[in-house]
This record gives sequence, C-alpha cells and structure tokens, in this order.
Amino acid sequence: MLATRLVIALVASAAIGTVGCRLEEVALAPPEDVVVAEVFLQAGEAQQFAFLHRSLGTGALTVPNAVVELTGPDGRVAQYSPAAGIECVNAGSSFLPDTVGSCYATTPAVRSLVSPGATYSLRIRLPGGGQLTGTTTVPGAFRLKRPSVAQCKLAPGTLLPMEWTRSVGAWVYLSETRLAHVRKALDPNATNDRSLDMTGLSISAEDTTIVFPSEFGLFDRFNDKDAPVLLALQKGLPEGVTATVTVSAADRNYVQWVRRGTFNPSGTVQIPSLQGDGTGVFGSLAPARFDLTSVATSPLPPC
Amino acid sequence: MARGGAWRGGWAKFRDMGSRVWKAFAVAVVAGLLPTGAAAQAGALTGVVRDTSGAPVVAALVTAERVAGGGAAGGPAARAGVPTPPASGGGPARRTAEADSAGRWRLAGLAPGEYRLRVERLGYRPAERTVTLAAGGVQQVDFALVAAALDIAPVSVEVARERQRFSADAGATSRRLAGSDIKRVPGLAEADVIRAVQVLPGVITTSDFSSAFHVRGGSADENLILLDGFPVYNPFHLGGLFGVFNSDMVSGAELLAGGFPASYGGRVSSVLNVESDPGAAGAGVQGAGGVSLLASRLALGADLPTGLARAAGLRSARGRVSFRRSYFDALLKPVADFPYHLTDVQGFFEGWTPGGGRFTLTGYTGGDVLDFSHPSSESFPLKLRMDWGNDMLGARWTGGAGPGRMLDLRAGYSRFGAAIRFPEFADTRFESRISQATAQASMKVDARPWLALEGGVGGDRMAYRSLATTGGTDFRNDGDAGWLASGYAQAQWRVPGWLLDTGVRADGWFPGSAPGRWLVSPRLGLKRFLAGGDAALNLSFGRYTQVVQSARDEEVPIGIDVWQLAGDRVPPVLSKQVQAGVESFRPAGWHLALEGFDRRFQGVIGFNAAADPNDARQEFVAGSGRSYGADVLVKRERGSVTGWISASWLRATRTFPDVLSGIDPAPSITYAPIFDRRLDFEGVLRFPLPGRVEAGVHASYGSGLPYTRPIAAYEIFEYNVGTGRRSRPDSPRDSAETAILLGPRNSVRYPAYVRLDASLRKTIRKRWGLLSPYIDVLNVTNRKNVLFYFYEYNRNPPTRTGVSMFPLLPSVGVEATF
Repeated sequence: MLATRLVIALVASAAIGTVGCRLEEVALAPPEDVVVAEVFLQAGEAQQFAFLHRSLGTGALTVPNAVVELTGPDGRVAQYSPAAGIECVNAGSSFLPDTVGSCYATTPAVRSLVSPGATYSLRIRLPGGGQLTGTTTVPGAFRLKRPSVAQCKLAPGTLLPMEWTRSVGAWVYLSETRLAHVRKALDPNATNDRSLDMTGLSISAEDTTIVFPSEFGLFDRFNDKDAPVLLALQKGLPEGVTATVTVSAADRNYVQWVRRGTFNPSGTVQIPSLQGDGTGVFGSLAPARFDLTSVATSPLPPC
Repeated sequence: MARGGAWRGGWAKFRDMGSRVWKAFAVAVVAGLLPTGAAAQAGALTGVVRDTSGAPVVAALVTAERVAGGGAAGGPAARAGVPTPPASGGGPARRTAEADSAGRWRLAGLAPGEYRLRVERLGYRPAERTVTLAAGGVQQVDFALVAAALDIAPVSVEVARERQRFSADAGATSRRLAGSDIKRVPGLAEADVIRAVQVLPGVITTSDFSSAFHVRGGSADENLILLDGFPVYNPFHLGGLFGVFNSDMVSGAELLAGGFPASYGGRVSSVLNVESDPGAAGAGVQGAGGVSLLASRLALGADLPTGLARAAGLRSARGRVSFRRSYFDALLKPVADFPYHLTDVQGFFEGWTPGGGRFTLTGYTGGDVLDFSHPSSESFPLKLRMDWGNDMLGARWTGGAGPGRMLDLRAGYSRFGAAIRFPEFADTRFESRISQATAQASMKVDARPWLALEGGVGGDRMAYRSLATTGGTDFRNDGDAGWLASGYAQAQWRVPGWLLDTGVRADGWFPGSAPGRWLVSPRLGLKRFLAGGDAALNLSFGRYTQVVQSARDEEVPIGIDVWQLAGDRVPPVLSKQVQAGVESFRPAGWHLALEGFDRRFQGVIGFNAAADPNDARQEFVAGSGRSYGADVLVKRERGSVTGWISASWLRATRTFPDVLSGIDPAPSITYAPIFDRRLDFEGVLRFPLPGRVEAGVHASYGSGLPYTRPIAAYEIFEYNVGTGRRSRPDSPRDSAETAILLGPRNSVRYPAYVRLDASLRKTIRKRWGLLSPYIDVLNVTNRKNVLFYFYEYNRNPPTRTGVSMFPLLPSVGVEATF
C-alpha cells in the first residue's frame, strides 16, 4: 500500500493545498493520561531495557516506580530496575533523557536472558495501579552468509549483495547502517560531516537479501537534504567511508508497532502488543552485525 | 470472519426472509410462464420507428393513450370477465415505450380497445396515429419520422424517457439525467457527469475533493460505471476531483440505484449508464466546445459520406470525437511548480445496416500525468513521474433476429492503470493495473403479448497486477487473471395494472489463484399501477455479486483505486437487497417517488494494517455490512421553474476484524463507515432570468460524517537496533513526531455539510450556432465544511485545527455549439 499512500500524499496535498482552507484553532480539554511502554528484547544482548513514557499534554512524561517483570520460557522471572535515561534515549541539546520517559534495565548477565526462538512474557505493574501485559516470540537464530566475517573491506564504487540464512518466525529483516565520513567523502567542501543513518527492509522470513548500500535509505528519499547523498550511494561507497551494518530479524510485535499502518489525519497509529491499562509494544529482535570499510587496498578480508 | 451474536441473529432472520422470498420468486417465475385468463386477453402494440431514409430512430418515445369510449371498460375483455381497468382505473391508460437501438418498440399487456399513438424524438417532427387493438392481438405499427429543427425542449423528452422506464420496469430504481441537466448542475470549473449524479437521491459523496460516490450505503467500488454499456474502472481525474467524461459527448446518464435486472452483473450497489451523444443525423459537421479555468475541450461530429458508408456495408453512419486537456500546469506556473495535466479523448461512431441493425463503436482514452522528473522541478526533492488513466474500446451490434426477436452483441476491452516511476531510483516502482475483455450476446423475445423474455451469455477475461517494490524488497507484488462466464434469463409478465419482472443470473468466476465458483443471483420485481398508470407501488428483491474490488482506503478523501480480483486473497462481494416504494407522475409535470431499502453485504474488504508479510492472503480483511434507509424525490420538469429536491435517510454499518487492537485473533467491531451520512438533502432549481439568462441553484445539506477521534498522543522515538537506544529530534516538543491513540472507530461526527452553489448561463444565438458564457460559483456562502480535524495534543494547550473543503470558488467559462 506504499504506492497508494504516496499517491494520496501527492495528489491530496496538491488538490487540498490548492483550494482547502485551514480551520480556526479550538482549544481542547487535556487528553487522556496514557502510559506507553516500549520494550524490545534483543537476542544475545547482556542487558535488556524497557522505556516507559506518558501521553503528551498531561504533565510529567516519566513513569517512575513501575515494576517490570520478564518471564522466560523456563518460568524464571527477571526484574527490570530503574536505570539512567541515557541508557534508553540518546541525549540531545534541548532535553534530558530522564525528562522524556523512564528507563528500566535488567541486571547485566554473562549469558543473555534472551534466546532466539523462545517465547517471553512481560508484565508491567504501574505505580498508580493497573498493569500491562504482553508476549513475544523471539525470531529464530540466523547467520550472515555474505559477508561471513565480522569485519571486511569493500572496494569503493561497488555494491555488496548481502545474504543471510532464514530466521524462523521473522516478519521482516531490518537492516540498519551508520556511515561515517560519507558527506566529506562525497563532497570535500561539505561543512557537515555528521554520520548518516540509513535503513533497509527485507519483507517476510524468506527475503534474505539486500544490496548495500543502494537499497538502504528507503525512508529518506523524500528528504531533500539526504536525497542527493542517497543518489550518490546508488553506485557504492566513496573511498574512506566506514560503516556498521546490523541485520535484525524482527517479530510481529516489533513490525506492527513501527510500520504505522493506518490513515488518520491527526497522526501515526501504531498497533500495540501490550494490553491493559495503557498501550505499548513488547517486541523482539535477533540481530547480526558486521563492520565494513570502503577501501581499495587493506589487510581486511573482502566482504 | 468473525461476527457478533447480534449480527448472526440478524443475518439468520434475513436468510429466513430470503428463503421465503426465493420461494415466492420461484412461484412467480412459474406463474409468469403460464398464461392466465387475464393475460391471454391482453394484447400488444409493436413496430419500428425509422427516419425518411429508412434508418432506425434510436430512443424515439412511443406513447399509447387509450381513447375515451374506445372499448375499455365495456370491451371484449370486460365482457369476458377479465378485470381490465377503466381509463382512470388500475391499469395504465397511457403507456410509453422507447425505441431500441434498431428503432423497435413494444407495448405489451394492453387491454383491447382504441389507442392514439404518438412518437417523439429530439430532432424529428412528432407523428401520431390511432389504432384499434383486438383482444389478445399483436398489432404492428411502423412510423417514419421527418427530421425537423431542434424545437422540442430536450427536458420534456427526458421526462418521457424517465416515465417510460417507470412503465417498463417493475423493480429498478431509475434516475435519469439529461445532457442538459448535467450542464446545468454547477460544477467545478465545468460540467461533470459524475458530479451531477451526486445530486440524485440515495447518492452521497464524502468530500468536495472526490467525485467517487456511494449509493444507498454501498462502497464507491460497488458502482458499475458504463460508457455505452462498457465498464470504465476509474472515471476520475486528479484522485477524484473531476470526472473523465466530456459533457459535450454525453446525451444523458441513467443511475440505477437499486433493483436492477438480471441483465446487469458485476457490481452490487448501482449501475451508472453514461450514453454517448452521436449528434443529430443529417446536420453536416457539428461541433461543441468549451473553455474553462480547468481545461479546453472540443467535440466534432459529422455524417459519414453516403458513398463511404455504403462501401462499408452500411446504410448510413455518423461519428463524433472529442478532446480535452487541462492547463493547471501552465496556469499555476507563476505561483507554483505543479506539472500536472489531464487529457481525454472520447469517440463514438454509429452506423445502420441495410437490414435495420445498428452498429456502434465507443472509445475512450485518457489520463493524468504528474511529472516532477524534469530538471526544472527544483522545488520537489525527489524526481518522479506519476501517470494513471483509462482506456476503453467497445463495439456493439443490435438488430432483429426474426419476428419479435432482437439480438444484441457486444465486445470490448477496458483497462485502468496507475504507475509511479523514479528516474533516479531504478529499484523503485509502483504499479497497479486492471483489465477486462468482454464479449456478450443477448436476445429479447416477445413471446406472448403479455410476456417478454430476455436471455444472454457472456464471457470476460479479467486480470490485475499490483506492484510496489523499492530497495530490493517487494512491499506488494501480486496479480491474478481469471475467466468470468455469465448467463442470465429474465421474464417480464404484464397484465393490466401489474408488471412482474423475474430473472436469474449466474456468474461463474474462475480465477487463477483459487478454485472456480458459481454465484447465482435471482431477481424479482413487482409493480402495481395505480391512478390510471400515473402512479405505482413497487417491490423488488435481488441478490447481487461482484468479483472485483478496490483496495482503496475510503477514509482518505482523495485516492486512486487499486483493483483486486476475487481469488485466494479477496472473496467476492455478495449482497442481498430488498426495496419497496411508491412513485407517481403528476399531470403538471411533477414526479414524486418514495422508496425504502435494506441491503446486506458480505465479502467487502479493508486493508489489513496488521497483516503478516509471510502470508500474502492476509493483506486484506473481509467484513460484512448493512445499510437501510429511504429516499424521497420531488421533481418538476415543466414550467418556468424546474428542478428537484431529494431527501435521503441512511443507516450504514460495517463489521470487520479490529486489526488495530493488536489482539490476535482480532475481535470484530461494528462501526459506521465514512459514507454513513444519515440525512442528505439536495435541491436543484433552474429558472429563467431576463435576457436569455438561465439561473441555476444547487443547495446541499448533509448530516455530519463519522470519524475516529484521537484521545491522546505520545511522542515517537526512533529505535536503533545497533545501539539499543532511542533517539528523538533535538527540537521543541510541538514539532516532534507523534503517534495517536484512537477512540472508538468512527464514533463521533463532523459538523453538518452545507453548500450552496449558483450558476448563470446566457445563451446567445449566433449565425453559426450558439454561444453560452457561464459563471459558476461554488459554496456561495463560503461555509467552511470540514474535511479533516487535526488533534494536536503536542501543543500547550492542546488544540484542534483542521482543513475545510472548497471555499467560495467562482469560475467562468464559455461553451459553443455549431
């Protein structure tokens, strides 16, 4: 339905923009105070995090003193404890992570609490009473077939057809990359050399390929600042760029939360996987990672 | 498909009711095939209307009026004890028939006696004759009409045609719009057939920005839109802002809002027949055109030279073709880069064979182009080209096939396609296409003076393709093709005072992706004439099916249909419908109609926002629906002030799995769909002003449409798997991206929709023809009808803003005919 939405966006904005008028503002009563919980389990990670926040316009956004419990397939329960906001949200210059929500974390463990293919339950007891519950099944384990090493080199101006084995239970594979020095490499006169984050998608458990980097950056092609960079990357990376690439098999709950599936003029609608006195997501991911450098000659193995 | 208990109970009752109806239907069919004493005494008048060259005159109206003392009540039928009504009694004293495409007409079920026959056709001098019909007899009466100047008011002919439908059909709810009506309904920049349909009772639209219409609680994709009998899939430009048909090429349009006979299949809600205008015969080269703020258009028509026609095996022939192109792109250039244009080319050819057969060829091609692919389109961040449009070509032959038999053959092809291409990103393509090739044959037989039979068979090849691919992944890549085999039989049984239509239709759908199945659709219509045939009570039942649906989200006011065939992903739509009403034509030119209806729908689809990408069959969810209500029409077509007022009351619901709940399996919810406009009033008035100026007013009131109100909003944090952390824009909160939490679906309503449009049209007679400058003003009161509300909970205090529909929107244009 992406095509439909694109058509709608273009045609509707053209037509409505031509003759539609903005209605006058009406002040509203405060909206409902709703707790939003975002919990993504990551297979293989030593520590798991939960991020709780509240709906806007109701006062403080934090949710302190919640009790967050994760129950594994063997019945063992892991407690989340309050953690610094920076553990859940990157800091910004205009806000402190601890003001936009409350972060909770499990105790770091040598062996990850979360295993691919296993089913977990989550229960969040809210400070004012009420609770949220949900279940997730972590996508099955998979491995990268190409590249098959954790660090490799890619010749500048070439594309890398990535491939991996199938993850049982995956709804999509989400590929993320962070490119460093790409702006300067493309334009030596560029004043801004911040890293570029791009996302690629492989839909369904069977779609186990993606081409790096040309098929990344789907959601930034309408961004007039990044579109020229993405266009230049259609043929490969320039010399000197480094990249970290993560391919993650994502479960139903994660996908339903992030894909924003239905139309409402007031904003995005996300499909929850936590039920009860609030809303939120309890999703799971099974990731695989590698690092890549765009160089012609290097002791690194080729990707 | 899960449903609530109340719904199951309701459906069971309906099913039981349906069972009784079908039993009654079977009895009626049998009864219809058996002559009764009353029917055996009824006679028929039949004949052919030709012009002086011998060519059939299509759509001539033949009116038979009983002559007082002509043996009605005291005639042989009465003496035989047959309940033949008096002239003012239960049977129609005046009956009208329309000549078909071979000029043939027939009036059956007439009591014996003396009749005065009158034949009228625009462009010809009326002809009259008096005949005497014997009991049980069939009398042939042919007419030869003489061409005349266009002095007959076209509207009176349309009234007669509407009346003819009233007399000839038992069950169908037919509303006609003449070409002149269409041009007099104030439109957006220029006359629009599809927009004009929206002022009819039972028809609603959800926004000014879309011409897509809903009939009696049906979805927009449940309307069969035909151009000369051939389907056009998406007859809209700019996502629905304009219709595709050139008003200069249209002689009229007929909306069958319900109860349509078994000869129509393919859609469950309504049939809109748009008829091409071949122009007047023998008038040399004729033209019509117009210049508006939207587009310029020109239609040219002429008779084929006699020698050329004869060389082609035709007695005579004529053709007409029109062109239209918009100039938004040029007009807006100084203020905005909006490289959009639309084009339409529409053609119609009509020829008569020496044997009296009629051959027609209808063609349409048109499209929209939004082209941001040029280097000059600097204001747009991404280069793209988007084009969409229809192509249609249809050929039809109608002619006699022996005494009392009429054969209709047609073959055609129709397609709709939309595509978006990105010159800079070759891996990204969006396409949606549907096509339909059709071949049909039907035969009408005057079996008895009181019985007319019709049957037909058809074969269609339908195919669709949907593709959405980007970044090496297919968001959607599916298609299917199938054969549709159809057949129908219908019988019309007429005795004085009664008309019974019975029919059954069978559609066999054999898609490539699923096993084939037969869908059987019985139809029944019953009409009891009153007041000498000027009024009637009617009742009809029917089952309707369709195997193609649009996946368009109807909650979005502007959009393009993405068509989908029934198969492994989508079920066919099945609908059972009942309607009953009363209709009356009054002597002073008044036409009154009141009709109630109840409709049930199964197999309607919605987009599944929670679909598992591993299972393509989950892309849509199937649901059910119900609508009931009533429509009232008060129409006046004679006198200095003409027009109509319609009132529609509707209750519509849809029941679907609540995929947004996140619960697996999704529970069912029942809600009012976006087109559940409970009350709708439309008024169209036309009246003359001094100086050969005609004024038109269109007033519209619609109760508020439902929408889903957000109850809260929260900030969206982008989660990065690599870092395990979220990020948010380093910006003030009121510009952060937010997600919303929704209240119960469509549980609140926008304010009522009110709009007043006005038009002034002056007709200036020139040596070469007519010139008609016009002014249309939409939304004269500049009322801000709500299109959307935006709930902005990220602001302090939270606010509600929104976007309105059309503001006061004046436009000018000029039309010319020569």
